[in-house]
Amino acid sequence: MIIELAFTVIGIMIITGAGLILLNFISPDIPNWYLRVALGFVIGNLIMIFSLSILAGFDLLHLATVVLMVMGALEAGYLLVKFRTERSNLKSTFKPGQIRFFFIFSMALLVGTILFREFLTPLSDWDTRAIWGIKAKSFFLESGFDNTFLTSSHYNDTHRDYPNGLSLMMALFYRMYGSVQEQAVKLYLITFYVNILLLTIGTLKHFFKKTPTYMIILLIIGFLYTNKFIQYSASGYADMPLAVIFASATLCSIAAVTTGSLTKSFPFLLTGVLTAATGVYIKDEGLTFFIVYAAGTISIAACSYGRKEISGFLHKKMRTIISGVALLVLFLFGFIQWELTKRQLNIIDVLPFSLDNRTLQQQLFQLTVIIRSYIAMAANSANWGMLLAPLSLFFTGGTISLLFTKKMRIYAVPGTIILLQLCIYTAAYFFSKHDITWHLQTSLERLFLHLIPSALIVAIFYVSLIAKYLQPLEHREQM
Amino acid sequence: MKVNRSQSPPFLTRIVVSTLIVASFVSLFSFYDSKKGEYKQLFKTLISTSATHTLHALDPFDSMRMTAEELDTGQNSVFLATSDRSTPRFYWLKFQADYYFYPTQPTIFLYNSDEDYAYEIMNFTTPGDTVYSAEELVLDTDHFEGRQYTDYFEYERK
Repeated sequence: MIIELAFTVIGIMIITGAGLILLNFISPDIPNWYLRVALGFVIGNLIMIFSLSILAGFDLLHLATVVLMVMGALEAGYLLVKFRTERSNLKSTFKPGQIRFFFIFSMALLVGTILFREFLTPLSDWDTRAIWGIKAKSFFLESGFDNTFLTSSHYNDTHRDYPNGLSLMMALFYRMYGSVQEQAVKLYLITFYVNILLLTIGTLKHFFKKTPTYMIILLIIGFLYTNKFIQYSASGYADMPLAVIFASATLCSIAAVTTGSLTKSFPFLLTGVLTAATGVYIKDEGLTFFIVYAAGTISIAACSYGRKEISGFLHKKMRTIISGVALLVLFLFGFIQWELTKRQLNIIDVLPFSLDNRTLQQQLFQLTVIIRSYIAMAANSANWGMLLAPLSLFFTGGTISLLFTKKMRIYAVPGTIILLQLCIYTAAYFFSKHDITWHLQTSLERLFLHLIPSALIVAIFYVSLIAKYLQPLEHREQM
Repeated sequence: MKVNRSQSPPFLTRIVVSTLIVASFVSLFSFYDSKKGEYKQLFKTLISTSATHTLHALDPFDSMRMTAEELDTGQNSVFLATSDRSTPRFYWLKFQADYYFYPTQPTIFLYNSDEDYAYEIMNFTTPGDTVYSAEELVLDTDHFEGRQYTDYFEYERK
């Protein structure tokens, strides 16, 4: 078990390292190391999942660990060259800053209590075994998409059509261990939860530089150390990874709208789109988020800057734009390949909704059930603590009010993206072909889980806007 | 009442901190309240046995798989039985079986309590698989608290 855990740590480090290096090229101005590590982890996952998808497409998954090792060797080489040429720069890039012992101890205690439970229990939740776990097992035992699980009609009841990202990553770790080790792989799964903590801490540190440590800890316990976050932290569901992806992309869009110039915001927009693209490999909801996010990104560029600045930027930075778009298309290639494979293997997309002939009264009833469930879920303090209801109100109210404030409309974009994603979920429930009560009972809490970290980050951003306006005029920074 | 603007941030901070303290207490209490039984059980099992054994002890399906393998070594044809195909319970059992035996496809028996016989489910069996009658299967319902859809029927051959 110890060896497997060590392998997991090495794997996570290589994956995060790859992301950090790519991030260093496309977006070097990420404010602090908390955010840099979290974004590096997400981008690293994108790189790795993309590589594994391509390998699976060519029936070469047995080379997965070789690819990981080559990636590690390349990273080591890069660091060595960087260390020789830019010693001082590198130190500042990876300098963790001042970390208090109390803070580390508290975080270790919080994560440790979850890990204790996770290491002693199997990956036994429904979707984990029925979808992601068995897929991971198939990618571990066989070398590509043309495997027993994806080709045999025996598995027709399972969602074989779902994206493969999480399963491929789990299979990579199984291949490192040489066996299916559910406990060791939980260390990888819980990294997503840890990254949500990093994103929240990093956002706080960025907007409120002098936030006391105890306040950060209280905020994390109040919002993120709640029953549902703990339950899904390493359960093997794809929802926690999706929550990290949404939160990372939201953070990038906040960074983009606060820079003030298109040249400065472009790296954040590109990083945001790339992190959102990771979602298409994880779950279907990731695809809708990617589409909404890409539209939001274009709207940020179109609404915040004048025609002159946009045409000037396009003229000056055409090569950068083309490189960025090419990188995005390249990373999406694995997703396109999976869509084509599904058609080849005759795997049908099982959508949870259908457009049948319901009466207006039935449709309205469906909508009231959905809204009632949303309100009940937000107010469920046993699941989410006491702060979700005020957070939901503040986040929604803040976004709507910013949308109607002409001079500050641009600041509403990150929040609007999250609200639009919620609208998509609502539409999916509205046209649900299942019994709506059952559908909501079995999935709503996980959909909330996708959006809460992003809403929290946006709320911190809104509080920072308010704090700036509360400051005496002479101390207020130019916004 | 006049408000001194320079005093408002510390006052606001105090409100925020107090709110966060209450909210954190609620989160910690909910965690303690809902998970204390589970943690107690984990500690107890861990003290009495090794981590690997704890895992097996806490995974009902794994022990079921082992029983099935003992009963029918190498065949993978005996795994489980359930009373109704239309319920989530049936699918939960099928997914467990699929997960454990992958890439082998195990036989799943449907136990019909009304007509009192067990029969093969179409598409889930291959020619030559052993089919057991109801007399050969003794069903015993067990429930695991705190988990969704984890009702299962454990069986043993008479």
